[in-house]
Amino acid sequence: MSPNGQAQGNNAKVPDNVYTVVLAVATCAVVAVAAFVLYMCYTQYGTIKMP
Amino acid sequence: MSTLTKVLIVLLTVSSIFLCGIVATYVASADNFKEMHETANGQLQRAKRDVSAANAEVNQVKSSTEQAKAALQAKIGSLESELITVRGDLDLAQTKRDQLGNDVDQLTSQLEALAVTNDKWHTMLQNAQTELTKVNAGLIKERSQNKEVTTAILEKMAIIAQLEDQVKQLVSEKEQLQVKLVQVLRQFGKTMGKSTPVTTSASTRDKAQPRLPGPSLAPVGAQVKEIGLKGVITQVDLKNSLAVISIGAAEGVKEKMKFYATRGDTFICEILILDVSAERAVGFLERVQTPPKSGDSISTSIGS
Repeated sequence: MSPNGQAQGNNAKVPDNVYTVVLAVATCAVVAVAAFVLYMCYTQYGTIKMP
Repeated sequence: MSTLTKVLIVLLTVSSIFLCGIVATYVASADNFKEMHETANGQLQRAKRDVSAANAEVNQVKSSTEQAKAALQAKIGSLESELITVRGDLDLAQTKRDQLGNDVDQLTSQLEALAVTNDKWHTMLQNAQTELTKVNAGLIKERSQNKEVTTAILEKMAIIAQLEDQVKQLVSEKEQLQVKLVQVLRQFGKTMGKSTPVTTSASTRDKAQPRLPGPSLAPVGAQVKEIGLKGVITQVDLKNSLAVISIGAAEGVKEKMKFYATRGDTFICEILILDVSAERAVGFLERVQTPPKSGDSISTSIGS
């Protein structure tokens, strides 16, 4: 895998930053879902504590 | 970076996104249990209030029902007593009805017997009317005969009066002849012997009388003897216009004979004889001028 992104042979080379972006997207999605769940708990039950 | 790390990163990312999607979908579509709880709790409270209100209403209805039940029990008691009274009255009415039915049966039988008796009396009345008609016809005939006899008597009395006048004239002529004879005898110095009566006896005089047309005197004399009955009233029933006289069949009284009642010289009434026994007779009062009483005289002819 080269920083230039040039393909060597038949194997395609994906830069490492892409994986970082993918991890960042996955993290953002998890955070967003957690925030959504907290919002829904607060709006429906009035608290975010466990019973 | 190794390939395994890269694969794990991709798998982690895919699974994270997948799970996040599931969680988000689940949370978004999950029911709001708090709101449902509150709604259910509110419904429960309302239901409890409704239950309490219903219980109060049930209690009220129960009390009113108890009162109505007590009133109905009292009413049932009074109605039962009234029913007993009415049943007693019904028994009495049935007994009375039976008695009245028996009375009706008895009256019906009596009515039938009376109808039979009435028919008998009607037949007897018709027979009596027939006999009365015959008696009236005989009475009319006897009256006509009585008129003829009365006419004959009047004629005889007129003849007797005429004969008495003739006798008086003869007596006066006889006296005149005796005076003349005495005068003549005195001239010749003689006196008159015992004179014989010029008039004859009644039998001789009857023989001397000329016979007139009409009924003979013998039956007239018999009738006069009948007419000469005399007696007194012994009982009087003014209510039924009946009187009892002191003479009966032994003295010659007969039914349908007529007597004249007098008190002194006053005419009181006539008595038509209805029934005759041996020593007394009962008659019907007619032409009553004065109410008769016991002791009044009766005779078959006035003035005799």
